[in-house]
Amino acid sequence: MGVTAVRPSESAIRAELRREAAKVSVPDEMWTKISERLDGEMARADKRKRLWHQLINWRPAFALAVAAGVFWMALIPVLPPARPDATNNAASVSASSNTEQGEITTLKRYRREQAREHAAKAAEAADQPMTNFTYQSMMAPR
Amino acid sequence: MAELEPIYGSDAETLLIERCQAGDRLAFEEIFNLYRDDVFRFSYLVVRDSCLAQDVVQEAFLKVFRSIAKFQFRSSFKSWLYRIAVNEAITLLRRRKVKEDLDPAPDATFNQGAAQVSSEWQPEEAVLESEERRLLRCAIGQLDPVHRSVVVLKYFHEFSDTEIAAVIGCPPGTVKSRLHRARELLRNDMARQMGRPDLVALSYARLSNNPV
Repeated sequence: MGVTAVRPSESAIRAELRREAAKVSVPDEMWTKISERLDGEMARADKRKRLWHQLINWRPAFALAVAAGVFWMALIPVLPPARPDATNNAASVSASSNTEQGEITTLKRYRREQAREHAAKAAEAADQPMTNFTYQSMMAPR
Repeated sequence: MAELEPIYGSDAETLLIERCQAGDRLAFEEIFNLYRDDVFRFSYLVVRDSCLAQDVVQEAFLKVFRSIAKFQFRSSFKSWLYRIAVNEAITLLRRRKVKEDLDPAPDATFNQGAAQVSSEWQPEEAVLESEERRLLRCAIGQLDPVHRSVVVLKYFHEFSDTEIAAVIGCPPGTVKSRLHRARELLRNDMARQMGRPDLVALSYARLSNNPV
């Protein structure tokens, strides 16, 4: 006889399922547990709502602080660089600005010295006394 | 077991659901009491464990309470509830990877008895039926949760194919094919347990007058 003939009948399955279900009794405490969990969820939801309301109350202050921060960050790049002599007095100038100004001053001094040396060398090369330079240097007001 | 009380799908049920949608806990408790037994038995038959069935029922009803405001009466509440229960049961089983066989594999005594039955073929009817029930019980326990859900809804809760389709969210044709497949799986598992397909065939021919 083939295997296909052993397929269980609907009535047999139905009877077995009913027999199986009859073995267990529905527990009584299920609603208690569900109710407790619902209470817990509601309490948590209330707490979240309260926190959210508190956050909403603080929202203008937060917005003001954020706006101030954004304004400050936008303002920094367009501020004029502080002059070197004013650097010490101007407390509001940032450290990066100070450093930049100092570098510019050093560069200017270096270029001035370079130009002076270049002029001296050019004069020597032309075998001419540095009368003009000496005279101007001597006559220049100190 | 699938005897439905008159309130199912009635105006009274609709009223209860509407009250529940408005946040009425008492209405929800009434709904719970209305469906508790059926959902628990369904869950038990699917997960094969009383404690797990309790978990399924709790999670299902909590989900119902959380999302009942979204229920728009497009399907019956019963279908919706069972759909949630089916999903919870399958999710729980997948998560916990429960070994769902009620009985262990056939032992030596059983095999010895089966050999004796096959040689003589004149057992007592009660003993044979008991063994056949045991085989069937084991085979149902070996079904995967999806097929077992369909079998339980069909043969225990007496749902129609359309109702089962609404519960598991597939066309009625798929329900029919799943039922057919489930019965094939039952048959194969029983034959495997017996180790004697011919013996199972004979016993089931005697047990049921109308094999499906």
